[in-house]
Amino acid sequence: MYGWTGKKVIIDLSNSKVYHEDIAEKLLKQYLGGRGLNAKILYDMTVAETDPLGPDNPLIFSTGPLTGSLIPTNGRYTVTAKSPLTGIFGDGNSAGFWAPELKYAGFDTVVITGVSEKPVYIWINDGQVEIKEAAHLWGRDVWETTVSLKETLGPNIQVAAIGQAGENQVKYAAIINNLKRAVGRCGMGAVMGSKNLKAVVVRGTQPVKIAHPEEHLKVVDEMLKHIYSAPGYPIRSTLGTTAITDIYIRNGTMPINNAQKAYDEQTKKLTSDKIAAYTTGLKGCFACPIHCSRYTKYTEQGPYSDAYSEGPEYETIVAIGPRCGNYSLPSILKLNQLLNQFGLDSISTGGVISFIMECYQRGLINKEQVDNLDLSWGNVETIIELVRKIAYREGCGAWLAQGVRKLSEEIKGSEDFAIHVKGLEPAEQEPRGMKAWGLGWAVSNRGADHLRAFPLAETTWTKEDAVRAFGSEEVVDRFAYTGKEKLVKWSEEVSGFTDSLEMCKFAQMALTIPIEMTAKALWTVTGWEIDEQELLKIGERIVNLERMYNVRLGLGKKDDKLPPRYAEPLKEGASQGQSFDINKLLDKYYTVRGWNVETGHPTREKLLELGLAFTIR
Amino acid sequence: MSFIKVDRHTCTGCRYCEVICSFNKSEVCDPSRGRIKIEKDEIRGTEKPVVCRQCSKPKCVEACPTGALYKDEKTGVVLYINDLCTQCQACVEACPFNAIWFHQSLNIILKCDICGGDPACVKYCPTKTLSLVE
Repeated sequence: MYGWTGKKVIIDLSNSKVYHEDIAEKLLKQYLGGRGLNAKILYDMTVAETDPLGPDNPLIFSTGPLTGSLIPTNGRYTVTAKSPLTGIFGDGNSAGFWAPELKYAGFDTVVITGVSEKPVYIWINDGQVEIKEAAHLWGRDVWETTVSLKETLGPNIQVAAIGQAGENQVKYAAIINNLKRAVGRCGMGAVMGSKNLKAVVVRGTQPVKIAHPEEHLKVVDEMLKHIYSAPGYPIRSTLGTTAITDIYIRNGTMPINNAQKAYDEQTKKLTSDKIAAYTTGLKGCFACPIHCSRYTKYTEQGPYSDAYSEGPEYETIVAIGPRCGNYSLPSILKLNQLLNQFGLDSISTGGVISFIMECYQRGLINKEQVDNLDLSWGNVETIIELVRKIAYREGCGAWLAQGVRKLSEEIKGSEDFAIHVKGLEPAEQEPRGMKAWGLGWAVSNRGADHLRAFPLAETTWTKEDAVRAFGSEEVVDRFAYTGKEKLVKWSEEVSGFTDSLEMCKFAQMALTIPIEMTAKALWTVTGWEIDEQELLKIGERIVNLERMYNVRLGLGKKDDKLPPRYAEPLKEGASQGQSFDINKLLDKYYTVRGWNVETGHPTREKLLELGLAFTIR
Repeated sequence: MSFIKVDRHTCTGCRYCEVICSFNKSEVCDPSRGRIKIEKDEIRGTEKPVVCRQCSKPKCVEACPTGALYKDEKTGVVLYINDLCTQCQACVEACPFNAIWFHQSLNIILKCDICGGDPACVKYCPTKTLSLVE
């Protein structure tokens, strides 16, 4: 097989057994790999009653067909399980260097089932799979764990590990590879902790075979040329996502104080130039010419003079910054480091802390409930202390470890500002000022998230391109509703196949690699002839399968909504006066999807068309 | 005197050089076959590409007992004849820069030969960290 290895290893931690299986080529051609393949495996391996933190919930790691090749930005992987945070379909994905190493070790997919009696880690070395004791690593943070494993197994290994947050099954714990790259969303780290699994360590020296080597190099050249000449490249490759901070301040679309407002003068303390002052070097993931990441070190005197990490990314800056009323850049750099070390999803952590701060502001909780801490907006010491307490489930940390939805169920009067969709705290956009993103949050199958649709076109495309693709120039008016259902559907399809190829959406979507070019890249690697339409069809299949996973759990139209807060018009900034009404978009979206507008479920015809007959009951 | 020069400060650690090197030599993608390697210190946030400097008095050539390694008089590049190599790895031990490696499963020495004057790693390095000095 070219590109893929066609190999899957299943590790049953309850019985300390390892099984090797081939992956059918037909399956790989239906779902590509990564996110799509994982969705199919999860659908088949779980039932509606599966306990997310029980032995029957599999934790699935997959790379994609391009992973390990020369196609730019191929080094991603997706981890999938039923989410302990949301109780529905869950996954997270990450780049760095772990994914290609798994491929070189000889596998597309690792499925981990059961629960180990004692703490263990998994060691995958050139086709050999071992379950090793990890008592000496338990209780240690991600960085200490990674360093210790490298001392034991050599400098060339790659480690995906949990920190204290995952061990303690914080519902939004992350899995972290390369110290600072997070499989952040949906609590995959908690699932790993529930299995007593500290780390998955990989090392490989098996080549990825390329079907058409000469053509491969040609398409790589074409892609690189496209990337280097893309208008967004100079900024993406120097400031990375910190540039979004500047844009969102300008557009008035940055959630502040738990999205009570979307603009504040103080956010100017966090513009990209302020962060760039502490950048010590640019950082690329595997085979990535965009190198959007940065090493950052705070060098000045003060309480955070030791702060050091990779990033911070836009989402983290805002989640634990302005979202919590915090405009202290040094503290954000320190918090970014702590979140990576403890292994916490920065987005959900910021979501929880800002939510509980608003409860405090409104007098809905008393001081005893939060260990007598002062939860005033922007109290940096409190934010840092809460992060630590959450990771260790210490005191009120155990309560906060459950996520916003569960907290809101227990705090009367907080429903209107409990910012989550389907139990997942959203990223740092403001749907009132960017309507396509609001629809994307509402319909996302893993709950509120910016990366499921990632409808960048709304603010980056020209009117001409919008008319050509979606038949309306209002698609690029961020306040308009017109045509957003088409934009979101198309963006979800592109995200679906990109996440399953395990390429980076910054290349495919932000720097707009033509889809035909990606299809050609896939052909050169695998030898499988495929075109743009087929890739989009696979994206659609994946979105529909993930939806059917949730339909099996009883979800539908009633769950595709945003919190009531977004119905209130914004009072300040460049999006002043804007509100968000999902009803203006939902039925239109279901219609373009070929779904039932009453239930929000895919129709029988749609499922048959996509080869998803096995989901029809 | 041709060799690949490294500017450590601009390296982003993406390892494109390792993969393109393996592809150029064997039409497969496998960084373990790369004749250039990035030494990463992720804790400190540093990236260090390591590749043969084509020394004027190469210790590896001195150490090689069979003449498998020799310095090309015209270009100054240290070249490797696989047929003469006994895999003793004396060169690996001798190199003061750790820029020669032994590949366990292929049973060969990995050493940069600057691709005959047109090195693939230099061509594909996204940040021009690598350059060819001629």
